[in-house]
Amino acid sequence: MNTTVKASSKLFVGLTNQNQVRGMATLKDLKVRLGTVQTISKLTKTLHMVASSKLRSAEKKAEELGAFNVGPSKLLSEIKSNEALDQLEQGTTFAEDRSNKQLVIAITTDTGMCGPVNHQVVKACKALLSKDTEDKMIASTTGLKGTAPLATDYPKKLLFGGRDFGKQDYSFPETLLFLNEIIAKIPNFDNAVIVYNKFKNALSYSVDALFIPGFNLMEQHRDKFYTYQTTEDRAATMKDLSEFYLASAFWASLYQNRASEMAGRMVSMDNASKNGESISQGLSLQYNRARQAMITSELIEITSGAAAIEDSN
Amino acid sequence: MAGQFWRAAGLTYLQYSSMCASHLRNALKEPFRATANNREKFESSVTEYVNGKESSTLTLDTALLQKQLKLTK
Repeated sequence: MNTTVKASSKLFVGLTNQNQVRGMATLKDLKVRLGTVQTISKLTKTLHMVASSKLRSAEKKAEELGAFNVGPSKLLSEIKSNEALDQLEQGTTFAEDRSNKQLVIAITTDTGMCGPVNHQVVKACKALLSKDTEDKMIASTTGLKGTAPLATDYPKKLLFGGRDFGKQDYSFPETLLFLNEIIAKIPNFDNAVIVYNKFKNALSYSVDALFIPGFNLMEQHRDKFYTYQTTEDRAATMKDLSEFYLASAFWASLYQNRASEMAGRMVSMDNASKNGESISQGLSLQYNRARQAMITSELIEITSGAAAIEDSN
Repeated sequence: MAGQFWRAAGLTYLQYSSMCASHLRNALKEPFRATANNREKFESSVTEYVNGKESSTLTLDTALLQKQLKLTK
């Protein structure tokens, strides 16, 4: 215990006060530290390159898939809140039993090191959950980075957390299974909110939330859909439409978030490698100075020793 | 209407459309079928939380999907 404290304190002293502490230990410590910084810089550089190459395909996919969600979102964009349900009197009968539950689905990633991507989503989710005083909201996340912060702050409201979700690439049956797990728990949700990062370009993305009305809410807004022709069973179509929009919005926002993740990783890893480079430059300067000082002092010792021998002769 | 028997059987629209998609992929001709099936491969897990603690984990993979498909046959 004691020795480790000594060693680490020596490292810091050695770095700050070069003139006072000299010798092999400091020099070695500096060299070790320099090596570590260089290795990490290499890693961040690699991550930067991987992210920038992945960004292009993710961006393309997000763009192509976005088109599929335009229609449904246009159709349902008029329904923006639960008001229609909340304004109803007590004891009103609904098309199906009202659960009074709202789903919050946060799209997060499994791995970090991608700038503020996950942080933004978690922050937006917490803002949503903090407003919810009647315990109506139930949160789920797709990635590991969202579960821990939500589990500590709102343990009662967290329902599902995904892992390895879309590790290679998102697959449609997988997302359907995931959503189905949530829906199986709360089949008649009032509404669902998907929180994700909307991708703009490689340097900017912002948190966005999609509102998906549940079946009961849609039934309240039935008159809005009379311009559209459906099968005889309008209620069944509404129920399908609600679930369809949930899946379609979820699928589109997954890809938006993936593109934002890659953009965030690219930028933050670029910054990290720049920082690493400047640190390693400073360290190598320090290392060379310390080395030079050590050599000089050794030379002085040798010459003064030789001089002393000559004098005695 | 005829299309709603699956809901009576207790399926959600998501399960229903997932099944339809699987059957459609299986109905493709060979070179396309293999690529379509490869594209849909996945393995992940979903963990249920109760009071902020992990309570149970379900693995989502193709086997689970196949199991769901067989339930309807």
